[in-house]
Amino acid sequence: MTKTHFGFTQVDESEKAGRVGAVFTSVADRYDVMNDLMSAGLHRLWKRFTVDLARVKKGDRVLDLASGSGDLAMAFSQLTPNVVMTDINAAMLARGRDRMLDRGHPIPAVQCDAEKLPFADQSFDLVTVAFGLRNMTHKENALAEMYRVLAPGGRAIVLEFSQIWEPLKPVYDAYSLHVLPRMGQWVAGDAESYRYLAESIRMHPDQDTLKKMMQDVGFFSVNFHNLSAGIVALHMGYRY
Amino acid sequence: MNIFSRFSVLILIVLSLSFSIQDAFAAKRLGGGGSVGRQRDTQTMQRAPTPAPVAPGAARPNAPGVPGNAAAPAPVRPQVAPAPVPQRNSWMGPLAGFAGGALLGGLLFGGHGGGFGGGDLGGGLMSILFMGLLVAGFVFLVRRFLFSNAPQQYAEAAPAGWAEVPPQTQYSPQGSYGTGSAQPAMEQAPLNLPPGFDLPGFIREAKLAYVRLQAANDAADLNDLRLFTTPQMYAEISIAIQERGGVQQRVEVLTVDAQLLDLIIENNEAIASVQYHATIREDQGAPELVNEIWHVRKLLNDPHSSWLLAGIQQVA
Repeated sequence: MTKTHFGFTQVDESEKAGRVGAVFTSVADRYDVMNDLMSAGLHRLWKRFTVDLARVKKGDRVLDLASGSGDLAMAFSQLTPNVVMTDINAAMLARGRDRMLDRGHPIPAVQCDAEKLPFADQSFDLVTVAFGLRNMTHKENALAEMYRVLAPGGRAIVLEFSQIWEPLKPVYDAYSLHVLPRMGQWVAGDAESYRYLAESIRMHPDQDTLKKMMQDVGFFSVNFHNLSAGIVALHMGYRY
Repeated sequence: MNIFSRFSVLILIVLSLSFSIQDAFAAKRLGGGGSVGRQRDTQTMQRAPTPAPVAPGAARPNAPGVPGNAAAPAPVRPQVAPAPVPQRNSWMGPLAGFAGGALLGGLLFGGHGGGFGGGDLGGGLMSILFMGLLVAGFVFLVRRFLFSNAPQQYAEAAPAGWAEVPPQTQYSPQGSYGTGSAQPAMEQAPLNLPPGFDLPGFIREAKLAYVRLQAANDAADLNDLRLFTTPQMYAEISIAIQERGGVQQRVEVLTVDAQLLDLIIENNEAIASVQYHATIREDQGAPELVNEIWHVRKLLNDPHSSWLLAGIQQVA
């Protein structure tokens, strides 16, 4: 059986999705407050930057993968009515769907695996995934699926934790590997899930590797922006 | 009449016409903000706080939702805050500014293409910003978490879909009764729901119907309206659409929350009363709070029957 990483732990590939699912089911209720707490509110700015860069026009067809509680989908739905949100985790998707509805934007919410998208080829103008790619077992498959469902001229955006600027690494490591799990225990009653978060960030490809992965599945003009000294990187690629 | 007077009259006519046209095309939510179709006595509805001893003199007979008889169950009355715009977190401004600095720093000194460097100045600035950000963010967010503890407890106790009740729609039973005495928080009597009734699912569908019917009304989509309304209610709505000339309009639903007030079965039909607390914007104007009850009915002797809107009732 092929092994893959689940944080710093090696697990069978078939196990990873279930384990990641358990993490998100566990943290779904406190997901938003923990996001604010962990990132000191910065995740809102990272997402706003993503929305600004996406340049969505009215009528654009937008697919948001691993939508979670729907922050990006919410922002896109203010710009175009054709937004679809997806997540593999039912608890997170239900939370996102209800948030959208409570704000008067009921949009299709599809529970599906981002590595096997149930959408036709070339059916979207923009595909986004924010803080979701690192949880996927076969990232290259997910990127290939993003490429497949994009219409020519469309663009894909990947917002994900990345490799921080080297001089800040000791502080960041201390924070994420020691403070974060305690914070998770205190607020969400779940240290393990947040330990996984910190470890999965370390195991995620760095900026250049992810850029190459996107190019390998067919994306053109791939570039990336480091946000907050590389805590997060935004990768963008086009299909022509 | 000299030419100046004629010109003045012409201007007056044009102005009055433009005002009347503007009035005629003023976007209105479904029901036009009034009570239409089937109406019910909200005082007899099941969903009510446990009766509390209320001095007869303290009751306001004309106030909706306040029973004249202290022994009778009283319906829950929401407290609607006067401010029409949902509260914003006051800490977000400074925090966003601080974070924005860090972001700018990240962008300036990080730059496109991956270089984080920028020399010692960039690194030093980033370190200071980063550490300051963490400390400030942590303090503000801990405060936010602690102060929002009470509503979160309420949210946890509520069914799915009610998790994010806007602050202005939180119940305040004491204030509703106006007795002035400190009363403990009243338990709400459970609804007498049929076994297997999916309340969270019903509430979700109710919110969906609210948004969808507003959109159908905006688009003058009579086919969609017909699908979700009783014949009587459909007649009322279609007349209103005809009166505005069938033109499209825009009523934006900014937030919507719903709760099932009452469910009764009479004469082979189930009637549910759903109270909506919504924030809407008509004609790009200022956000407006809506507090209204929609009565929906379902025929029990027809297996294909679905919930249809039978009436809209404004809550004072």
